[in-house]
Amino acid sequence: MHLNDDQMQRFLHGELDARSQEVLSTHVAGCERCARQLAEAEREEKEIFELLGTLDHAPPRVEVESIARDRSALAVWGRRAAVFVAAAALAGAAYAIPGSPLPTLVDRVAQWIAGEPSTTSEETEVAPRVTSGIAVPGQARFAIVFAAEQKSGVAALSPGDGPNVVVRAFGGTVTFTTDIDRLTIDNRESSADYEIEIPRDISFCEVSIGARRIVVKDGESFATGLVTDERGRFLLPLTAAKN
Amino acid sequence: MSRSFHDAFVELFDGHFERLFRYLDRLSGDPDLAADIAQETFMKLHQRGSLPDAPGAWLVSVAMNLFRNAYATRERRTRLLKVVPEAAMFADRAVPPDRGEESRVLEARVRRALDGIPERERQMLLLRAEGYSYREIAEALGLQESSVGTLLARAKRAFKELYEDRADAS
Repeated sequence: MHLNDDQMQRFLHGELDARSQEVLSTHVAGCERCARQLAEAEREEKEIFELLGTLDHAPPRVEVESIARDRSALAVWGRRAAVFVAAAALAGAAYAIPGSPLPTLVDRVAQWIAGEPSTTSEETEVAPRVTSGIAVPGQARFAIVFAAEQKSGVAALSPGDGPNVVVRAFGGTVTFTTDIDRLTIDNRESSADYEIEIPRDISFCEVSIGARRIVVKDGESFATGLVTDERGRFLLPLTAAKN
Repeated sequence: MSRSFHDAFVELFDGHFERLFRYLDRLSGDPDLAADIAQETFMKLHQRGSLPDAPGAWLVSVAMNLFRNAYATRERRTRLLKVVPEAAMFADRAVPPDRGEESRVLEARVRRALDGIPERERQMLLLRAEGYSYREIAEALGLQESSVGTLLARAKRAFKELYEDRADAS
């Protein structure tokens, strides 16, 4: 048995518990291969960290007392943020229906304003702020229409267990128009990314991007041909298709 | 506010401000943005009035939330820069007194290699370079502590491959 990546890194950084440290130290002392790899890993890390140092700029001169003085200015922004969150909460109440994404949106906006760490690892990792969102009841046949192709942006599609088609936009401003069997997203001049949940119960759903039409759900098949991200969502580029 | 919080805040500031700035500076390539965010992060801590359980991880988490809010603007600027060939980027720029052509090209290579690795691995590499513990890294990035070692090894491997690719291509 030789050291794996995790053990090698932890050994290097002193992140092993006492027992593991003892066992692995004994092994490394008698294993030429692991000793060599450990020395190599240490050398490589030193080299990488030195390279990262080439990016450095001089830190600003900041007096710690000036941070305390600026606190009063920050408090004004805090009060404004509170008013904004309250307004968002009132708006959310109007959409307080089962499956509505708005409570989540309000939470995220509140976290964004407060600058507090997100409450779950998933949110911390995904991170971008929701700038708009909507939930509309899905019909047996449903269409999601993006008014235009974008210069950049991706829609991440996933099947949902709820009854609503849920769309969240990140990092851009869009407006939504709903009809009985379609949701139109006016994304002209936008470079937003989107999360779209499509109810499993819908039998047919297509997405149009400008003149381009893509069937994303047809019976049991879902997003055929689209690549997935690390969360298993199907990625539909909103940019012009390459010839 | 108690005297003890103020003392603890000053101590934390002295120990963490520069490394938080350096982390953000390396992450963004924008020292002004990094300075603003580092200061605002400490303002938020001061406003909080008490120290969190894991101050290092808390500071990074708050800074990253602030960074993301500013990220869209930075992304647009970065995209514009990327369409300019490297040679043209430096063509009409005066050589800073402390940096020659060679160091600027090296810096550009490092920047491109760093920007080429996945975001989470990039953050992890930079946090480790600043001496953050595995627990702090895990808390700040919302990961399991048990996965940090493996992901860190992957991050270093990815950085090295991209950096050497750039070096070979030059």
